[in-house]
Amino acid sequence: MSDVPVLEVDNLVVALRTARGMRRAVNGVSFSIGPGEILGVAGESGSGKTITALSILGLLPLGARATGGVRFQGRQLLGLSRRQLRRVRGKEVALVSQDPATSLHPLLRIEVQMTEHVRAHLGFSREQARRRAIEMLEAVRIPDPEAALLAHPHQFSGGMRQRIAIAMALACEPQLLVADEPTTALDVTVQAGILRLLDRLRRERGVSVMIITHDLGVMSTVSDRICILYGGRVAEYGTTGEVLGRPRHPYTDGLMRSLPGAAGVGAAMVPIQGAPPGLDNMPAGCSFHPRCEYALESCRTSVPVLRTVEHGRRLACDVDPLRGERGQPVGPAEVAQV
Amino acid sequence: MSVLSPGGAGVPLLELEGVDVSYPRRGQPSVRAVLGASFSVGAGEVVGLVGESGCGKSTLGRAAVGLVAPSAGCVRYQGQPVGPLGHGTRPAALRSLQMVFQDPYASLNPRRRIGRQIADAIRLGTGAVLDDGDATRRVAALLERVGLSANIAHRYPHEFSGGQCQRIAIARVLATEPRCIVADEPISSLDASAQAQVANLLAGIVAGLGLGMLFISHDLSVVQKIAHRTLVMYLGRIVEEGATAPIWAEPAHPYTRALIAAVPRPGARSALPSELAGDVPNPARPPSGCRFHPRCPDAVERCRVEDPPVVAVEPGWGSRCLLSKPRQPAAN
Repeated sequence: MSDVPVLEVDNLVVALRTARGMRRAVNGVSFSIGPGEILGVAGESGSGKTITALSILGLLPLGARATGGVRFQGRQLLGLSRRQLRRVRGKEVALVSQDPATSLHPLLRIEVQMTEHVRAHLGFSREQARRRAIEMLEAVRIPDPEAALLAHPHQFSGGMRQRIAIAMALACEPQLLVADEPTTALDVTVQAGILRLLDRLRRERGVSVMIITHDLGVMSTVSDRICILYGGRVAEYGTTGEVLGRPRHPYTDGLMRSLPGAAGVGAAMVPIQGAPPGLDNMPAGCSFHPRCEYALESCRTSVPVLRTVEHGRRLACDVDPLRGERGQPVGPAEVAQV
Repeated sequence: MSVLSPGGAGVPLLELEGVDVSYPRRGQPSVRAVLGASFSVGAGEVVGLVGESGCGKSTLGRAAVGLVAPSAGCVRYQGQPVGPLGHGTRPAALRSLQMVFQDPYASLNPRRRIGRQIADAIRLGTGAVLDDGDATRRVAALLERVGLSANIAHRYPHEFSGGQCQRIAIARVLATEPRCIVADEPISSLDASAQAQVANLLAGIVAGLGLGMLFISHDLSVVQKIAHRTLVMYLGRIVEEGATAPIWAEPAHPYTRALIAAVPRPGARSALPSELAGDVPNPARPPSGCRFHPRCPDAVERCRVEDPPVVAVEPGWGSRCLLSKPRQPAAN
């Protein structure tokens, strides 16, 4: 499916300014997204998933330092000036955020919010932009789009607002949609509609999507490939069927077993003990080792190398829970030391 | 009012009968958030309450502990009527009926050490007179009961993660020696791994101490795991009630079917979840007849006019749908 990747993230390192100095929130993350592909990025709070997304959009908090490669259609986005970024952001790469109540301006009519960036980026006239907005609202199945343009956000339900936010993100026909927990605030029934919508958009319009979620159920229904983040690093990466069907990282395995829907009927949820680490208490060695039931002595000190274990599948673990064997590192070390 | 059978396991601790809750509005008719809700929670039993946002499940949970007053019907806890809370103290008879809230950061006092907050709950909830040594020992035992270490009692809520704070909030509830807990979305603001931890903790407490619990959640798969019985709510009405496993296997109400079909199943090859068309209508202007008919894939003409009664699908299993029929009891 992937010819030339739409997005290539290569050894991304992002350091954030905290009260105790610079801390690495993202520590050598690499992945790519092909045309029309949906990549799921999963992780708990502190895993670096949102910071990764923000660095793609050039929206990192003040004082953050990002190094590595974020190439969009071959073009390096890191280090672009604000002016140059502004031409990409919203036009070629668009963001759908978690909370539609805050991503829409409460005081402006939908029409204003849906046409402003179209006119600025594409040079459309007011009438052209209005027609585009109506077309996009139809694409996300908002009933009576003409009336919707005249309404304010509070007149819509949460699910409708998220559809409008997606329509707004799509209005300039971006090649890449970055969706940060797009359904977390929504009911399952509404969530199902949004997931079907994302799947339809990629099939009909060839949009690539990076969907960030902590919900592996959501992920398994729409993603082609999955990237599991833990402690700012990639723990496991591969096709959805492989990673969720046969998890090889103890963290992925633990997440699957802790889900109520994954185990069979009547099987107990087996939670992972402990809590994910924060920036200030990142463990040495493998950052998952304090919570890992397979951890070896060496896991306390050596950072596992992200290595290719099967075709298109990468794993950063020195203990393979599936095989119980230790693998050989493949390729150059991609993971930087703390 | 309802043929939904009261009582699951043992004697009901908490009973609601025909509870209506209305929110008055100035110059307009009031919104009826809950209509004729009847159910009970027995000792050692987890009752799950599920539904979309705006269906009235939180309002019903608040009515169950006396945080809002029903406009009709009654709530009884161990035979005592549960009235709305005044400004004074909660009657002693109701102190063992407690609530766990969704956001633990909001329910804990940010400026008081967590050990103190738990000790307050022991004093106020049980009337015990404690010296400092007793308090320290009891707080330590409670923290360990919820899987935390006893030496964190001197810390403040902001020093903990969401999952840890929810454990602290649960320890504070346990300090009052509750017999019945209403938990309103206790895990939905937590991280993936903390969700399973806290859900298991609550289920373990109910089983270990023989408490009753009303577990309110929009996450159907968790309810399926830990609830003995399930109530499904739509636009103020309980539309289906019964034992969890059979409802999950063969839901009787079309709304329950739609809800279950919308849950994404984690796995290697998951189909896209099914979409339920439309949005929850405005509760201030509910549809005529069956409240679900505009979104119901099975709706027939009379669903538009007739308010469906509860049909007993099987003993102890009710469905508020005109098309539901009693099932033949299984042959085993």
